[in-house]
Amino acid sequence: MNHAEWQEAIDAYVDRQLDARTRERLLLHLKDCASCREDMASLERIVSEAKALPSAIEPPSHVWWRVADALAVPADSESPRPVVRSVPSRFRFAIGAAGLAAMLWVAVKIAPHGRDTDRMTATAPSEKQPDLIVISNNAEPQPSDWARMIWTLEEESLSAEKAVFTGLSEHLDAQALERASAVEPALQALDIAINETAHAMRLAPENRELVRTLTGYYERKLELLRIAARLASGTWA
Amino acid sequence: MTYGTRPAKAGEVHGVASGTPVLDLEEQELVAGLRAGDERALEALYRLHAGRVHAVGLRLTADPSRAEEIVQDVFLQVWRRIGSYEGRSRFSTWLYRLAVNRSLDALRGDAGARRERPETEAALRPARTNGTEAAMDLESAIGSLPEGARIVFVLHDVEGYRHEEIASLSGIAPGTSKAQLFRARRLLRERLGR
Repeated sequence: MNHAEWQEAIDAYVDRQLDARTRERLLLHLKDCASCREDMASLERIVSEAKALPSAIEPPSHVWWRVADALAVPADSESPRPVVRSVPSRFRFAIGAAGLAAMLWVAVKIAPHGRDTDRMTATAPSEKQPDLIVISNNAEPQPSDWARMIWTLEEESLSAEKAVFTGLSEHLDAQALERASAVEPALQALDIAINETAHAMRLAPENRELVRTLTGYYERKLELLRIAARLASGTWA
Repeated sequence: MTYGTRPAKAGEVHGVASGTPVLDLEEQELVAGLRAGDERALEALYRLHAGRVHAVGLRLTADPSRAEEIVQDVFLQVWRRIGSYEGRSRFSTWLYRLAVNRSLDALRGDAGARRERPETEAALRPARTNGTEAAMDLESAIGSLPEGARIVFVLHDVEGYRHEEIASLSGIAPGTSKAQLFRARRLLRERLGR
């Protein structure tokens, strides 16, 4: 075998596709050929690392509500494909007084849960406070409770974003959008942090530190959205 | 709904790696909900599987915007065409196959609009430009591969598909798939500086 043929044999060996006889010949060859040994070690490492890559990379949160928006469009309509916002900034559409009000409402609603997960208490179900979080003061919160809490936080965050995106675009002007766009990079970074922490929680749902971290990220995101609304409305001091 | 599962890769028992299995029954109930037109079932399935669908789309296309579109399209396809799922395989298997097909369709669509960029500037950029610069990480290096090599590497070495399946999915010969994998691994080795 020449060098190229040995390389092919190494690939087959790494994939466990080599027949027994060629495998023996290859192993003998490896004893004398440092280059092929190095090649095999390198390939085995790459293949091993590839198999260990995370199987899930959470998409940004806005992807879900794009899907949800598109569900309302009949499949046989002229444009079954959902409209993908190709704007450079999430604030191109709508930020205004209504957006600010929505942010503040959501922030007030979220604050008791976000600041201290230990203080979460049983909550009577109502229209505005769904019975998703049912955690007793006397009981240690269980992973499933945290999962529901995170789900609730994410839904509130999505609602807040959606209010910003879709609310009262007629009140906006280009300067307002430009001002609000200043927080866009920070929001994108937070989205990434939220996705990564949520992924970690799926691997370790019992980890309270991750719950606190994720809650903190959502709080920061809502705070940034409030800042964006203030920037847009010109009330930022 | 069990929270905290890592979707299984091709050929892997679902949920075993994470130690938190999803009950088949729950998934069946969600699929039944989909068939009944319950949007909450779609949302629950999205939360379970969107990460995996996104990862497949992102790695195959190396394009974050396109990957988001793929997630969106796949779940709308699930919603609108759940009737075509006959239940002979796991729902997740069917879903991920949709994701792979949608990603490959997107790449084929791109081919009509622009030439394949097998040796674009990014693809040719060396992993190290000097001794102090860190080598590329594996994800970046995969993203820099020429399209054909990237598809085969992702499907074979990341997703666990066999060459025959890759050939069937992407319309190439199994031998071509093997050759592309060989090429991809050597390029990765070079770009990772190993």
